[in-house]
Amino acid sequence: MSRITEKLASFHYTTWNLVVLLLWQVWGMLMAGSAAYKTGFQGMNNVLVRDWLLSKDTGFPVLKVWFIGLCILMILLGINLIFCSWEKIFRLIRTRFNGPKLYMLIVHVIFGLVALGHLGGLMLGYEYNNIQLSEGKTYSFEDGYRIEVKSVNFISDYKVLEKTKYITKDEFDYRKNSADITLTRDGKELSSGSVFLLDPLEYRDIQVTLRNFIKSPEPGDQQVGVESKPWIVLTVSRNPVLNIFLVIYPLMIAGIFIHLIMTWKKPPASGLASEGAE
Amino acid sequence: MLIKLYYIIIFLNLLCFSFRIAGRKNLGYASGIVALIANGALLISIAIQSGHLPLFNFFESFLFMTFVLGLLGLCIRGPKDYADKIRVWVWFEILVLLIMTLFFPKEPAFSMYNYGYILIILFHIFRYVSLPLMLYASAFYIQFIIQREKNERTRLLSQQGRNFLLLSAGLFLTSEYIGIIWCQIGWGDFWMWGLNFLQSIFIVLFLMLAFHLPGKGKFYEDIKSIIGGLAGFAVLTLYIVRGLLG
Repeated sequence: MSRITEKLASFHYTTWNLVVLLLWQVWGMLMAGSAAYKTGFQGMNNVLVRDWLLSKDTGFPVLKVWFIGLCILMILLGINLIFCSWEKIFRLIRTRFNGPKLYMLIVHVIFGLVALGHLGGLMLGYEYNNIQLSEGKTYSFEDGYRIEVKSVNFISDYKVLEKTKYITKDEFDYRKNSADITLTRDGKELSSGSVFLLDPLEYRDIQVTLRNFIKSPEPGDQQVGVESKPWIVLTVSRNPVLNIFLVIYPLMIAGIFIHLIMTWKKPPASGLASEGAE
Repeated sequence: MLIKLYYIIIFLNLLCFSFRIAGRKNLGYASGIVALIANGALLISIAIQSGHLPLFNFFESFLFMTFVLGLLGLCIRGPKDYADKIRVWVWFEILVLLIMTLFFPKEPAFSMYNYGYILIILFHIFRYVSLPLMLYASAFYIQFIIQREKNERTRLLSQQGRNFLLLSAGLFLTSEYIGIIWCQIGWGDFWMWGLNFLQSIFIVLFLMLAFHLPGKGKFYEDIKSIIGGLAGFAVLTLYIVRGLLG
Protein backbone atom coordinates (compact mmCIF):
# COMPACT_ATOMS: atom_id res chain seq x y z
CA MET A 1 0.00 0.00 0.00
CA SER A 2 1.43 3.35 -0.95
CA ARG A 3 2.07 6.07 1.57
CA ILE A 4 -0.70 8.24 0.15
CA THR A 5 -3.38 5.56 0.26
CA GLU A 6 -2.24 4.65 3.77
CA LYS A 7 -2.79 8.25 4.83
CA LEU A 8 -6.15 8.44 3.06
CA ALA A 9 -7.27 5.32 4.92
CA SER A 10 -5.95 6.38 8.32
CA PHE A 11 -7.94 7.23 11.44
CA HIS A 12 -5.81 10.37 11.79
CA TYR A 13 -7.35 11.59 8.54
CA THR A 14 -10.84 10.65 9.85
CA THR A 15 -10.23 12.47 13.13
CA TRP A 16 -9.00 15.70 11.59
CA ASN A 17 -11.72 15.63 8.96
CA LEU A 18 -14.34 15.24 11.70
CA VAL A 19 -12.78 18.01 13.79
CA VAL A 20 -12.92 20.42 10.84
CA LEU A 21 -16.49 19.28 10.08
CA LEU A 22 -17.49 19.97 13.69
CA LEU A 23 -16.01 23.47 13.52
CA TRP A 24 -17.81 23.96 10.21
CA GLN A 25 -21.06 22.92 11.89
CA VAL A 26 -20.46 25.43 14.68
CA TRP A 27 -20.18 28.14 12.04
CA GLY A 28 -23.40 26.87 10.43
CA MET A 29 -25.20 26.81 13.78
CA LEU A 30 -24.10 30.36 14.56
CA MET A 31 -25.52 31.49 11.22
CA ALA A 32 -28.73 29.49 11.76
CA GLY A 33 -29.17 31.09 15.19
CA SER A 34 -28.65 34.61 13.84
CA ALA A 35 -31.54 36.72 12.59
CA ALA A 36 -29.40 37.94 9.66
CA TYR A 37 -29.43 34.49 8.04
CA LYS A 38 -33.03 33.52 8.83
CA THR A 39 -34.23 34.40 5.32
CA GLY A 40 -31.22 32.63 3.85
CA PHE A 41 -32.05 29.34 5.55
CA GLN A 42 -35.73 29.77 4.63
CA GLY A 43 -34.60 30.14 1.02
CA MET A 44 -32.69 26.86 1.29
CA ASN A 45 -35.87 25.12 2.45
CA ASN A 46 -38.19 26.65 -0.14
CA VAL A 47 -36.73 24.87 -3.15
CA LEU A 48 -34.44 21.96 -3.86
CA VAL A 49 -30.98 22.88 -2.55
CA ARG A 50 -29.52 22.37 -6.04
CA ASP A 51 -31.84 25.07 -7.40
CA TRP A 52 -31.10 27.36 -4.45
CA LEU A 53 -27.37 26.93 -4.99
CA LEU A 54 -27.45 27.59 -8.73
CA SER A 55 -29.88 30.50 -8.63
CA LYS A 56 -28.39 33.99 -8.74
CA ASP A 57 -31.45 35.52 -7.11
CA THR A 58 -31.28 33.67 -3.80
CA GLY A 59 -28.43 35.79 -2.39
CA PHE A 60 -26.59 34.91 0.82
CA PRO A 61 -23.19 34.13 -0.79
CA VAL A 62 -21.63 33.36 2.62
CA LEU A 63 -24.27 30.70 3.23
CA LYS A 64 -23.50 29.21 -0.18
CA VAL A 65 -19.77 29.15 0.62
CA TRP A 66 -20.59 27.41 3.89
CA PHE A 67 -22.77 24.84 2.13
CA ILE A 68 -20.15 24.13 -0.57
CA GLY A 69 -17.52 23.76 2.17
CA LEU A 70 -19.78 21.29 3.98
CA CYS A 71 -20.15 19.24 0.78
CA ILE A 72 -16.37 19.26 0.19
CA LEU A 73 -15.69 18.09 3.75
CA MET A 74 -18.25 15.31 3.36
CA ILE A 75 -16.66 14.25 0.07
CA LEU A 76 -13.27 14.13 1.82
CA LEU A 77 -14.83 11.97 4.54
CA GLY A 78 -16.30 9.75 1.82
CA ILE A 79 -12.81 9.30 0.29
CA ASN A 80 -11.52 8.29 3.71
CA LEU A 81 -14.42 5.88 4.11
CA ILE A 82 -13.72 4.21 0.77
CA PHE A 83 -9.99 3.80 1.43
CA CYS A 84 -10.49 2.77 5.03
CA SER A 85 -13.15 0.20 4.16
CA TRP A 86 -11.09 -1.23 1.35
CA GLU A 87 -7.59 -1.15 2.81
CA LYS A 88 -8.28 -1.98 6.44
CA ILE A 89 -11.60 -3.58 7.24
CA PHE A 90 -11.98 -5.58 4.03
CA ARG A 91 -8.38 -6.79 4.25
CA LEU A 92 -8.86 -7.82 7.88
CA ILE A 93 -11.95 -9.80 7.03
CA ARG A 94 -10.10 -11.64 4.28
CA THR A 95 -7.24 -12.55 6.57
CA ARG A 96 -9.03 -12.94 9.91
CA PHE A 97 -12.77 -13.08 9.32
CA ASN A 98 -15.02 -12.46 12.29
CA GLY A 99 -18.57 -11.24 12.90
CA PRO A 100 -18.00 -7.85 14.56
CA LYS A 101 -15.58 -6.77 11.83
CA LEU A 102 -18.04 -7.81 9.14
CA TYR A 103 -20.75 -5.75 10.84
CA MET A 104 -18.38 -2.79 11.12
CA LEU A 105 -17.78 -3.02 7.38
CA ILE A 106 -21.52 -3.24 6.68
CA VAL A 107 -22.29 -0.28 8.95
CA HIS A 108 -19.59 1.83 7.29
CA VAL A 109 -20.72 0.95 3.78
CA ILE A 110 -24.33 1.68 4.67
CA PHE A 111 -23.28 4.97 6.28
CA GLY A 112 -21.71 5.90 2.95
CA LEU A 113 -24.97 5.03 1.17
CA VAL A 114 -26.99 7.06 3.71
CA ALA A 115 -24.73 10.06 3.08
CA LEU A 116 -25.22 9.59 -0.66
CA GLY A 117 -28.99 9.34 -0.10
CA HIS A 118 -28.83 12.64 1.79
CA LEU A 119 -26.94 14.25 -1.06
CA GLY A 120 -29.42 12.76 -3.54
CA GLY A 121 -32.29 14.29 -1.56
CA LEU A 122 -30.64 17.70 -1.86
CA MET A 123 -29.76 17.47 -5.53
CA LEU A 124 -32.26 15.21 -7.34
CA GLY A 125 -35.93 15.67 -8.20
CA TYR A 126 -37.71 18.90 -7.37
CA GLU A 127 -39.49 20.77 -4.61
CA TYR A 128 -42.07 23.58 -4.77
CA ASN A 129 -43.14 25.17 -1.54
CA ASN A 130 -45.77 27.61 -0.35
CA ILE A 131 -48.31 26.81 -3.08
CA GLN A 132 -51.43 28.64 -1.92
CA LEU A 133 -54.66 27.36 -3.45
CA SER A 134 -58.37 27.68 -2.87
CA GLU A 135 -61.18 25.32 -3.86
CA GLY A 136 -61.26 24.80 -7.63
CA LYS A 137 -57.79 26.26 -8.22
CA THR A 138 -54.99 24.39 -9.97
CA TYR A 139 -51.22 24.39 -9.91
CA SER A 140 -49.08 23.11 -12.78
CA PHE A 141 -45.52 21.94 -12.42
CA GLU A 142 -42.86 19.90 -14.20
CA ASP A 143 -43.52 17.40 -16.99
CA GLY A 144 -47.18 18.33 -17.48
CA TYR A 145 -48.28 17.47 -13.94
CA ARG A 146 -51.10 19.44 -12.37
CA ILE A 147 -52.85 19.53 -9.01
CA GLU A 148 -56.47 20.54 -8.66
CA VAL A 149 -58.11 21.30 -5.35
CA LYS A 150 -61.57 19.73 -5.53
CA SER A 151 -62.68 20.81 -2.07
CA VAL A 152 -61.38 22.16 1.20
CA ASN A 153 -63.00 20.37 4.13
CA PHE A 154 -62.32 22.67 7.06
CA ILE A 155 -64.57 21.84 10.00
CA SER A 156 -62.80 23.72 12.80
CA ASP A 157 -63.68 27.25 13.88
CA TYR A 158 -62.32 29.73 11.32
CA LYS A 159 -60.93 31.83 14.17
CA VAL A 160 -58.08 29.34 14.51
CA LEU A 161 -56.78 30.57 11.14
CA GLU A 162 -55.84 33.86 12.81
CA LYS A 163 -53.33 32.03 14.98
CA THR A 164 -49.85 31.15 13.80
CA LYS A 165 -48.84 29.07 16.82
CA TYR A 166 -50.10 27.77 20.15
CA ILE A 167 -53.03 25.90 18.62
CA THR A 168 -54.59 23.25 20.83
CA LYS A 169 -56.21 19.99 19.76
CA ASP A 170 -59.56 21.38 20.96
CA GLU A 171 -59.20 24.23 18.48
CA PHE A 172 -57.90 22.17 15.59
CA ASP A 173 -58.12 18.45 14.87
CA TYR A 174 -55.50 17.61 12.27
CA ARG A 175 -57.19 14.27 11.52
CA LYS A 176 -60.52 15.83 10.53
CA ASN A 177 -59.58 18.90 8.48
CA SER A 178 -58.56 18.00 4.96
CA ALA A 179 -58.61 18.88 1.28
CA ASP A 180 -59.58 16.70 -1.66
CA ILE A 181 -57.11 16.98 -4.50
CA THR A 182 -56.48 15.41 -7.86
CA LEU A 183 -53.15 14.88 -9.55
CA THR A 184 -53.22 14.82 -13.35
CA ARG A 185 -50.66 14.63 -16.11
CA ASP A 186 -51.46 16.08 -19.52
CA GLY A 187 -55.14 16.05 -18.55
CA LYS A 188 -55.16 12.39 -17.48
CA GLU A 189 -56.02 11.69 -13.84
CA LEU A 190 -53.27 9.81 -12.03
CA SER A 191 -54.35 9.95 -8.43
CA SER A 192 -56.88 11.62 -6.20
CA GLY A 193 -57.72 11.65 -2.54
CA SER A 194 -57.81 13.59 0.69
CA VAL A 195 -54.74 15.21 2.11
CA PHE A 196 -54.47 15.97 5.80
CA LEU A 197 -51.72 17.58 7.83
CA LEU A 198 -49.14 14.81 8.36
CA ASP A 199 -50.89 12.64 5.77
CA PRO A 200 -49.84 13.53 2.22
CA LEU A 201 -50.93 12.22 -1.17
CA GLU A 202 -48.32 10.07 -2.88
CA TYR A 203 -48.07 9.03 -6.48
CA ARG A 204 -44.92 7.04 -7.27
CA ASP A 205 -42.11 9.33 -6.07
CA ILE A 206 -44.20 12.51 -6.20
CA GLN A 207 -45.58 13.73 -2.89
CA VAL A 208 -48.23 16.41 -2.38
CA THR A 209 -48.08 17.60 1.22
CA LEU A 210 -50.67 19.71 2.98
CA ARG A 211 -48.65 22.17 5.05
CA ASN A 212 -51.31 24.50 6.40
CA PHE A 213 -54.75 26.08 6.18
CA ILE A 214 -54.82 29.84 5.79
CA LYS A 215 -57.31 32.65 5.47
CA SER A 216 -57.98 33.73 1.90
CA PRO A 217 -55.12 36.04 0.84
CA GLU A 218 -57.28 37.71 -1.83
CA PRO A 219 -58.54 41.14 -0.73
CA GLY A 220 -61.95 40.60 -2.39
CA ASP A 221 -62.69 37.72 -0.04
CA GLN A 222 -62.31 39.80 3.11
CA GLN A 223 -65.87 41.13 3.22
CA VAL A 224 -67.41 42.13 6.54
CA GLY A 225 -69.55 39.39 8.02
CA VAL A 226 -68.66 36.90 5.31
CA GLU A 227 -66.24 34.12 6.05
CA SER A 228 -64.77 32.74 2.85
CA LYS A 229 -63.51 29.17 2.81
CA PRO A 230 -59.92 28.72 3.93
CA TRP A 231 -57.15 28.20 1.41
CA ILE A 232 -54.58 25.48 1.67
CA VAL A 233 -50.80 25.64 1.49
CA LEU A 234 -49.15 22.77 -0.36
CA THR A 235 -45.68 21.47 -1.04
CA VAL A 236 -45.02 19.38 -4.11
CA SER A 237 -41.84 17.35 -3.99
CA ARG A 238 -40.19 14.53 -5.80
CA ASN A 239 -37.22 12.68 -4.37
CA PRO A 240 -36.26 9.69 -6.53
CA VAL A 241 -33.96 8.22 -3.86
CA LEU A 242 -36.31 8.65 -0.89
CA ASN A 243 -37.52 5.05 -0.67
CA ILE A 244 -33.99 3.63 -0.91
CA PHE A 245 -32.85 6.10 1.72
CA LEU A 246 -35.70 5.13 4.06
CA VAL A 247 -34.75 1.46 3.73
CA ILE A 248 -30.97 1.75 4.21
CA TYR A 249 -31.11 4.15 7.16
CA PRO A 250 -32.68 1.63 9.58
CA LEU A 251 -30.28 -1.01 8.26
CA MET A 252 -27.42 1.20 9.41
CA ILE A 253 -29.01 1.53 12.86
CA ALA A 254 -29.61 -2.22 13.03
CA GLY A 255 -25.97 -2.81 12.08
CA ILE A 256 -24.83 -0.58 14.96
CA PHE A 257 -27.01 -2.45 17.45
CA ILE A 258 -25.86 -5.86 16.20
CA HIS A 259 -22.22 -4.77 16.40
CA LEU A 260 -22.85 -3.48 19.91
CA ILE A 261 -24.39 -6.78 21.03
CA MET A 262 -21.47 -8.71 19.53
CA THR A 263 -18.84 -6.57 21.24
CA TRP A 264 -20.59 -5.77 24.53
CA LYS A 265 -18.48 -8.08 26.67
CA LYS A 266 -15.30 -8.05 24.65
CA PRO A 267 -12.86 -5.52 26.09
CA PRO A 268 -10.95 -3.45 23.55
CA ALA A 269 -7.44 -4.64 22.71
CA SER A 270 -6.21 -1.17 23.55
CA GLY A 271 -7.82 2.14 24.22
CA LEU A 272 -11.50 2.89 24.53
CA ALA A 273 -13.01 2.88 21.13
CA SER A 274 -12.09 -0.49 19.73
CA GLU A 275 -13.37 0.79 16.39
CA GLY A 276 -10.68 3.44 16.41
CA ALA A 277 -7.72 1.35 17.50
CA GLU A 278 -5.19 1.12 14.77
CA MET B 1 -48.39 21.28 43.87
CA LEU B 2 -46.18 20.56 40.84
CA ILE B 3 -43.65 23.12 41.93
CA LYS B 4 -43.53 21.77 45.49
CA LEU B 5 -42.92 18.27 44.18
CA TYR B 6 -40.25 19.62 41.84
CA TYR B 7 -38.31 21.21 44.73
CA ILE B 8 -38.73 18.01 46.77
CA ILE B 9 -37.11 16.10 43.89
CA ILE B 10 -34.16 18.49 43.87
CA PHE B 11 -33.80 18.09 47.64
CA LEU B 12 -34.01 14.28 47.49
CA ASN B 13 -31.42 14.05 44.73
CA LEU B 14 -29.13 16.42 46.62
CA LEU B 15 -29.57 14.20 49.65
CA CYS B 16 -28.79 11.11 47.60
CA PHE B 17 -25.66 12.73 46.16
CA SER B 18 -24.50 13.75 49.65
CA PHE B 19 -25.00 10.22 51.01
CA ARG B 20 -23.10 8.82 48.04
CA ILE B 21 -20.21 11.23 48.63
CA ALA B 22 -20.20 10.31 52.34
CA GLY B 23 -20.09 6.61 51.46
CA ARG B 24 -23.49 5.89 53.08
CA LYS B 25 -24.57 3.36 50.49
CA ASN B 26 -27.90 2.25 51.97
CA LEU B 27 -29.09 5.77 52.68
CA GLY B 28 -27.94 6.82 49.22
CA TYR B 29 -29.83 3.94 47.66
CA ALA B 30 -33.00 4.65 49.67
CA SER B 31 -33.02 8.38 48.92
CA GLY B 32 -32.31 7.60 45.25
CA ILE B 33 -35.36 5.34 45.07
CA VAL B 34 -37.58 7.92 46.78
CA ALA B 35 -36.25 10.64 44.43
CA LEU B 36 -36.99 8.44 41.43
CA ILE B 37 -40.55 7.72 42.66
CA ALA B 38 -41.14 11.43 43.24
CA ASN B 39 -39.74 12.20 39.78
CA GLY B 40 -42.07 9.63 38.23
CA ALA B 41 -45.02 11.05 40.18
CA LEU B 42 -44.22 14.55 38.88
CA LEU B 43 -44.05 13.31 35.30
CA ILE B 44 -47.42 11.57 35.69
CA SER B 45 -48.92 14.73 37.25
CA ILE B 46 -47.66 16.83 34.33
CA ALA B 47 -49.13 14.32 31.86
CA ILE B 48 -52.53 14.39 33.59
CA GLN B 49 -52.58 18.16 33.93
CA SER B 50 -51.40 18.96 30.39
CA GLY B 51 -52.95 16.08 28.47
CA HIS B 52 -49.68 15.17 26.74
CA LEU B 53 -46.60 13.15 27.58
CA PRO B 54 -43.99 15.21 29.48
CA LEU B 55 -41.48 15.57 26.63
CA PHE B 56 -42.10 18.87 24.95
CA ASN B 57 -40.51 21.82 26.73
CA PHE B 58 -37.26 22.28 28.64
CA PHE B 59 -38.85 21.63 32.05
CA GLU B 60 -40.68 18.47 30.97
CA SER B 61 -37.85 17.00 28.91
CA PHE B 62 -35.19 17.59 31.56
CA LEU B 63 -37.37 16.01 34.26
CA PHE B 64 -37.93 13.07 31.93
CA MET B 65 -34.16 12.78 31.44
CA THR B 66 -33.42 12.95 35.18
CA PHE B 67 -35.93 10.12 35.61
CA VAL B 68 -34.19 7.96 32.99
CA LEU B 69 -30.75 8.77 34.40
CA GLY B 70 -31.94 7.98 37.94
CA LEU B 71 -33.29 4.66 36.72
CA LEU B 72 -29.96 3.87 35.07
CA GLY B 73 -28.09 5.00 38.17
CA LEU B 74 -30.03 2.61 40.38
CA CYS B 75 -29.40 -0.35 38.10
CA ILE B 76 -25.68 0.13 37.37
CA ARG B 77 -24.36 -2.44 34.95
CA GLY B 78 -20.59 -2.51 35.11
CA PRO B 79 -17.57 -3.48 37.16
CA LYS B 80 -18.87 -4.10 40.70
CA ASP B 81 -15.83 -2.53 42.38
CA TYR B 82 -16.64 0.79 40.78
CA ALA B 83 -20.46 0.76 40.88
CA ASP B 84 -20.72 3.12 43.87
CA LYS B 85 -18.17 5.53 42.43
CA ILE B 86 -20.06 5.62 39.16
CA ARG B 87 -23.31 6.30 41.03
CA VAL B 88 -21.69 9.42 42.54
CA TRP B 89 -21.07 10.74 39.01
CA VAL B 90 -24.56 9.77 37.88
CA TRP B 91 -26.12 11.76 40.72
CA PHE B 92 -23.78 14.65 40.01
CA GLU B 93 -25.15 14.64 36.44
CA ILE B 94 -28.74 14.43 37.70
CA LEU B 95 -28.09 17.51 39.83
CA VAL B 96 -26.60 19.32 36.81
CA LEU B 97 -29.78 18.58 34.84
CA LEU B 98 -31.99 19.73 37.70
CA ILE B 99 -29.96 22.90 38.26
CA MET B 100 -30.44 23.75 34.57
CA THR B 101 -34.23 23.54 34.99
CA LEU B 102 -34.03 26.24 37.67
CA PHE B 103 -33.27 28.79 34.92
CA PHE B 104 -36.32 27.93 32.81
CA PRO B 105 -40.09 28.30 33.35
CA LYS B 106 -41.25 25.54 35.65
CA GLU B 107 -44.53 24.69 33.97
CA PRO B 108 -45.88 22.10 31.52
CA ALA B 109 -45.58 22.83 27.80
CA PHE B 110 -48.51 24.37 25.95
CA SER B 111 -50.43 21.36 24.64
CA MET B 112 -50.23 21.64 20.86
CA TYR B 113 -52.73 19.96 18.54
CA ASN B 114 -50.19 17.44 17.20
CA TYR B 115 -48.63 16.29 20.51
CA GLY B 116 -50.59 13.05 20.32
CA TYR B 117 -49.10 12.11 16.97
CA ILE B 118 -47.16 8.88 17.39
CA LEU B 119 -44.05 9.90 15.39
CA ILE B 120 -43.69 13.11 17.36
CA ILE B 121 -43.97 11.18 20.63
CA LEU B 122 -41.47 8.50 19.55
CA PHE B 123 -39.02 11.09 18.22
CA HIS B 124 -38.94 12.82 21.60
CA ILE B 125 -38.80 9.61 23.64
CA PHE B 126 -35.79 8.24 21.73
CA ARG B 127 -34.07 11.62 21.85
CA TYR B 128 -34.57 12.06 25.57
CA VAL B 129 -33.48 8.53 26.36
CA SER B 130 -30.30 8.87 24.30
CA LEU B 131 -28.97 11.91 26.21
CA PRO B 132 -29.22 10.28 29.68
CA LEU B 133 -27.42 7.28 28.18
CA MET B 134 -24.64 9.55 26.91
CA LEU B 135 -24.35 11.06 30.39
CA TYR B 136 -24.40 7.58 31.87
CA ALA B 137 -21.51 6.65 29.56
CA SER B 138 -19.73 9.82 30.72
CA ALA B 139 -19.89 8.56 34.32
CA PHE B 140 -17.89 5.46 33.32
CA TYR B 141 -15.42 7.51 31.31
CA ILE B 142 -14.90 10.03 34.14
CA GLN B 143 -14.23 7.21 36.60
CA PHE B 144 -11.78 5.67 34.15
CA ILE B 145 -9.91 8.97 33.67
CA ILE B 146 -9.47 9.56 37.40
CA GLN B 147 -8.27 5.98 38.04
CA ARG B 148 -4.51 6.08 38.36
CA GLU B 149 -4.10 2.46 37.45
CA LYS B 150 -4.77 1.44 33.89
CA ASN B 151 -5.22 -2.32 33.80
CA GLU B 152 -7.71 -4.84 32.47
CA ARG B 153 -10.11 -4.18 35.37
CA THR B 154 -10.17 -0.42 34.93
CA ARG B 155 -10.42 -0.87 31.17
CA LEU B 156 -13.79 -2.52 31.79
CA LEU B 157 -14.93 0.97 32.79
CA SER B 158 -13.96 2.42 29.44
CA GLN B 159 -15.48 -0.57 27.69
CA GLN B 160 -18.81 0.04 29.47
CA GLY B 161 -18.53 3.75 28.66
CA ARG B 162 -18.07 2.85 25.01
CA ASN B 163 -21.00 0.38 25.15
CA PHE B 164 -23.45 2.91 26.55
CA LEU B 165 -22.20 5.64 24.23
CA LEU B 166 -22.73 3.37 21.24
CA LEU B 167 -26.18 2.42 22.56
CA SER B 168 -27.06 6.10 22.93
CA ALA B 169 -25.75 6.75 19.39
CA GLY B 170 -28.05 4.01 18.06
CA LEU B 171 -31.04 5.48 19.91
CA PHE B 172 -30.17 8.99 18.77
CA LEU B 173 -30.02 7.81 15.15
CA THR B 174 -33.38 6.06 15.68
CA SER B 175 -34.87 9.36 16.82
CA GLU B 176 -33.30 11.00 13.75
CA TYR B 177 -34.86 8.38 11.50
CA ILE B 178 -38.29 8.92 13.06
CA GLY B 179 -37.73 12.67 12.70
CA ILE B 180 -36.90 12.18 9.01
CA ILE B 181 -40.21 10.38 8.40
CA TRP B 182 -42.11 13.00 10.42
CA CYS B 183 -40.45 15.78 8.45
CA GLN B 184 -41.09 14.07 5.11
CA ILE B 185 -44.81 13.60 5.67
CA GLY B 186 -45.25 16.93 7.42
CA TRP B 187 -43.21 19.23 5.18
CA GLY B 188 -42.62 17.22 2.01
CA ASP B 189 -38.87 16.96 2.55
CA PHE B 190 -36.87 14.92 5.06
CA TRP B 191 -34.42 17.72 5.64
CA MET B 192 -35.02 21.30 6.80
CA TRP B 193 -32.03 23.61 7.03
CA GLY B 194 -32.02 25.34 10.39
CA LEU B 195 -30.58 25.28 13.88
CA ASN B 196 -32.28 22.07 15.03
CA PHE B 197 -31.11 20.02 12.07
CA LEU B 198 -27.57 21.41 12.20
CA GLN B 199 -27.42 20.55 15.89
CA SER B 200 -28.39 16.99 15.03
CA ILE B 201 -25.54 16.72 12.52
CA PHE B 202 -23.18 18.16 15.13
CA ILE B 203 -24.21 15.45 17.62
CA VAL B 204 -23.77 12.67 15.03
CA LEU B 205 -20.33 14.03 14.03
CA PHE B 206 -19.26 14.32 17.67
CA LEU B 207 -20.26 10.70 18.31
CA MET B 208 -18.39 9.65 15.17
CA LEU B 209 -15.31 11.47 16.46
CA ALA B 210 -15.57 9.68 19.81
CA PHE B 211 -15.58 6.30 18.05
CA HIS B 212 -12.82 6.99 15.54
CA LEU B 213 -9.98 8.45 17.61
CA PRO B 214 -6.70 6.72 16.77
CA GLY B 215 -3.71 5.79 18.92
CA LYS B 216 -2.64 3.37 21.63
CA GLY B 217 -1.21 3.78 25.11
CA LYS B 218 -2.19 5.67 28.24
CA PHE B 219 -2.13 9.15 26.69
CA TYR B 220 -4.45 8.17 23.85
CA GLU B 221 -6.68 6.18 26.19
CA ASP B 222 -7.16 9.34 28.25
CA ILE B 223 -7.84 11.45 25.15
CA LYS B 224 -10.42 8.93 23.95
CA SER B 225 -12.15 8.80 27.32
CA ILE B 226 -12.17 12.60 27.58
CA ILE B 227 -13.85 12.93 24.18
CA GLY B 228 -16.24 10.05 24.97
CA GLY B 229 -17.00 11.56 28.37
CA LEU B 230 -17.59 14.99 26.85
CA ALA B 231 -20.20 13.71 24.37
CA GLY B 232 -23.05 13.84 26.86
CA PHE B 233 -22.09 17.28 28.12
CA ALA B 234 -21.67 18.63 24.57
CA VAL B 235 -25.18 17.44 23.69
CA LEU B 236 -26.50 18.82 26.96
CA THR B 237 -25.00 22.23 26.11
CA LEU B 238 -26.71 22.15 22.71
CA TYR B 239 -30.06 21.36 24.33
CA ILE B 240 -29.60 24.24 26.77
CA VAL B 241 -28.71 26.63 23.94
CA ARG B 242 -31.79 25.49 22.04
CA GLY B 243 -33.87 25.97 25.19
CA LEU B 244 -32.52 29.49 25.61
CA LEU B 245 -33.25 30.36 21.97
CA GLY B 246 -36.81 29.09 22.44
